[in-house]
Amino acid sequence: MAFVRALLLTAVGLLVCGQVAAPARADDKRSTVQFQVLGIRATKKNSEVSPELKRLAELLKKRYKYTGFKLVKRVSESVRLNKTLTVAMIDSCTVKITPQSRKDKQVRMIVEIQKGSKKVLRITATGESGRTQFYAADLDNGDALIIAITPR
Amino acid sequence: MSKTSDDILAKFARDGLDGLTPDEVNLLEGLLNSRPDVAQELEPTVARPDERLAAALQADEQLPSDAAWQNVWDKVETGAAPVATPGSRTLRLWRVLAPVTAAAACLVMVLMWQFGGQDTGADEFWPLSPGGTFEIHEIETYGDATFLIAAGGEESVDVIWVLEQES
Repeated sequence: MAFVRALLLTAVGLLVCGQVAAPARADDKRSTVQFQVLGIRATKKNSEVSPELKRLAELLKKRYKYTGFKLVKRVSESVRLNKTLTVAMIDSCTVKITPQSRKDKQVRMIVEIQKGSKKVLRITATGESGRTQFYAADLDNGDALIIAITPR
Repeated sequence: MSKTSDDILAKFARDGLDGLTPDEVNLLEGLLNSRPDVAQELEPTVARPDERLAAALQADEQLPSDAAWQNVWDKVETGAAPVATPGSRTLRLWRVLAPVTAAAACLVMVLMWQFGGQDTGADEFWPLSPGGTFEIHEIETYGDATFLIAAGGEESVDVIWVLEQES
């Protein structure tokens, strides 16, 4: 009897915790944005393409003269609204992403690109959740850094 | 002997002690004590106890001593006391641990939900999916940098290109 009572108490406790935690978890989803940030070195010096970038490489080759595309950085993180995710790329390049709001499938964010200690670009834009936006900057050796940002 | 004594003796001879009232037994006892000759006459009629029982009762040295009796009673009390069996010990332990375990499980669940981290699939590589709606609200460049929005059209992707003038 005591065993059954303890089991019932445990079950009730878990149910209560679930009810308490579920709204908290839902609030957490609305107040955070997940980002996948990729750093891609585009070069004309070789034709090596990272496996994850094969489809993208086909699209970029049609527009630009780069032949090689190497994945040099990948970050996937959950970021609270109005908090900044800083991702260090190659060649002293840094990208900072600050989600400002999310409504339905639209995510408003600020993207800043820095080269060394110098900020070069700041853009405020609204993109679609799950869709990738691309930014690029020339590197000193003739290659280019392509930054792919996907909010979710 | 008086008539009463004769009646009692006759009644005793006929019915034995069971047939006498307590008062009559007392009278008979007094009569036998005061009249040894009467007692002697009645002796054959008195029922003899079981010889073995009589021998046992008379053999004082064979009866258990007081210490032995006390030992027996002590054992009886000890035997009557509840003994903790493995099963009952486990049940007592469970009675104490069950609420604690339940509370700990609830706490772990709450902590996991609150701080459990990223959604499932966060560590997986998300397929790149260019396009979708993209609205620029504000764009700024710094120093000698400028920007170029290279539209990819249907065959490529749109890229916001930061250009820096060569010094």
